[in-house]
Amino acid sequence: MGLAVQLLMNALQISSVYVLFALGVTVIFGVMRMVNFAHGEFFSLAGLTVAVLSPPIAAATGMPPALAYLTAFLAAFVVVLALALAVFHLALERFLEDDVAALTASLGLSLALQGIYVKIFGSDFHGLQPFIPGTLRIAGGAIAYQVLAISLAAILSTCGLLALTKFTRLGKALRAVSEDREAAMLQGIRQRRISAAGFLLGAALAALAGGFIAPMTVLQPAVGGDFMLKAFIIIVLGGLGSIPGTILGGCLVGIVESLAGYYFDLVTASIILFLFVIAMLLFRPRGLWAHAG
Amino acid sequence: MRAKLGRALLGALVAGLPAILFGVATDGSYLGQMLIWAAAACVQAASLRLVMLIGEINLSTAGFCAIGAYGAGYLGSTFGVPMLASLAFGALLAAALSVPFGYLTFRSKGPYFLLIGFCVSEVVRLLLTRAEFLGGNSGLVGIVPDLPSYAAIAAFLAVLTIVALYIAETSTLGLLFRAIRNHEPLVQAVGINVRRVKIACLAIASAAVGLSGGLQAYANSVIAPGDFSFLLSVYALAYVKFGGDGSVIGACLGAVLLTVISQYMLGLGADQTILFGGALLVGLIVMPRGVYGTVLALLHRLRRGRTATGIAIPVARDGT
Repeated sequence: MGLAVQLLMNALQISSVYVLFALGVTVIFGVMRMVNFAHGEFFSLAGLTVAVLSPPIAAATGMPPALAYLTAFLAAFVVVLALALAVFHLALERFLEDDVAALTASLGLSLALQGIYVKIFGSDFHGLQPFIPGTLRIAGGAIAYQVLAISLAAILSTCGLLALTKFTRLGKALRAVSEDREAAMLQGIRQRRISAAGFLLGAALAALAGGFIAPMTVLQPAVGGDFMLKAFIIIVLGGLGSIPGTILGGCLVGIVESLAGYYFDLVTASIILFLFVIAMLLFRPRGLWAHAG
Repeated sequence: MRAKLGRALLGALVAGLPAILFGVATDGSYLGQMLIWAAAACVQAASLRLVMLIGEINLSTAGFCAIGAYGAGYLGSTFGVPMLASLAFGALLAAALSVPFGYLTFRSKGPYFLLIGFCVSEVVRLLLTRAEFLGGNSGLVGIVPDLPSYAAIAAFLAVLTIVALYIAETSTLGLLFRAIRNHEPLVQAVGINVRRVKIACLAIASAAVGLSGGLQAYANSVIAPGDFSFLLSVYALAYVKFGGDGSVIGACLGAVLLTVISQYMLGLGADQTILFGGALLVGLIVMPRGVYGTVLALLHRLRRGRTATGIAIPVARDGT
């Protein structure tokens, strides 16, 4: 019993950030029909900025560490959005009609940014000291309050995205474009503007995921690649461009990683997940969430 | 057909003969190593481009390169199989494994194929870190060529492979590849098994990539899983996009230029990822047709003199 609860908690912790990260890729794919390989770099920029900035902010202003973390988080969020805006207007905007070129551009960006991060942050690992003390113990499982708080914040962010796509004008436009691009244009949705909005929203999700992951693990510039592998598995499992599918896929990946990580190790977990992907290709080639037929 | 074959052979002579002679002259030196790396890069670029003909970006290139390298390296270093035989084995192994991969992944296309290719590359690398008989994380050592002037042999094999890829591209099969990219339902409607054609394309490309892996293995004499991260696929894409995806020549030109530049930059202590990322972006934004396409367009304009009217300049897009 205790073990089951513990593994479930681990799954919750892993899934909450994975879902947020993968949702960003999904949202961008939905509006732009582009797999954004630079997503991992938005994510790692946020994570690294938070990890590098928090301690000096705390030291310089005398803030408590938690508040310094939030300040650094805000700064990282702004930095990532500014980068995303620049990237969109300088490069991706030109390739709205050509998704192969857009994808290639995002690959190039991903490489170049990774190299630049190594210059800025060095290739060492950066981590944060825990800032919320204590551990919650229920039914034989244990989870640090800090991890719990961050996981809940990530889940809340996911709910926020769902509410945004469900109830706001922007969200409806985003869904309309990802369902049927031509029809959406005919309704007067402007492609350029909605693409920019979707791209920024996706980058914001990457920034959130990066900010949330910073206190939970150690980060270095290449970390985005590991998360991209997971995100791609999640997305292929859930069905490209589908938000509920992504959430489902993220939970599945979290559970498999939690179980396989306990009984075997993380490399085995990745291999098992890949077998899932192959099985799904055999039986449901359009993703778990796709409609039959 | 015969004219095309003639052109291919002529091109191979013009570009290949100096490369092979260069290989004889520089064998064993640093320049010789660089020639082999460039040759392998050319083959990788040409094979990635072959799959681009059916409209797909094949990020599993790194995975099949690893399979070819380990296939050749394992036979060569552990069983002492002669180099040419183990190189052929690596290439065939990659081609053979690409068939079931293609069978599964070509159920879907576009972004799905691309993502699964990415996953395959990463999973092959992860599996290799686990395979103790292949040296695990630290890899295989002692993959030594058993023939003299290896650099020249590698250049010769690369030229041979690229000519073969060119012939595949200009053959009837190659026409089918393009037809699939342009309008898949039509090809299906004429009664052609599209998936089988796609698998054939992938298998040809994977054989070439597997060979390039073997060439690299014998050049470096040490291979490790880390050499075959998915970056290798992205580098191949950078070669093609930077050199120009309109023809095999463009792809090879990009491979040679970027290999030489990156080696030069490494000497200056610069970062390889920035260079390749930058090359991809420059290729896309500044020269959408790549270096070769841009040079061709410029030559064309010069030849036309002042009669240029501002109409889009036709570029040898398919070498016909």
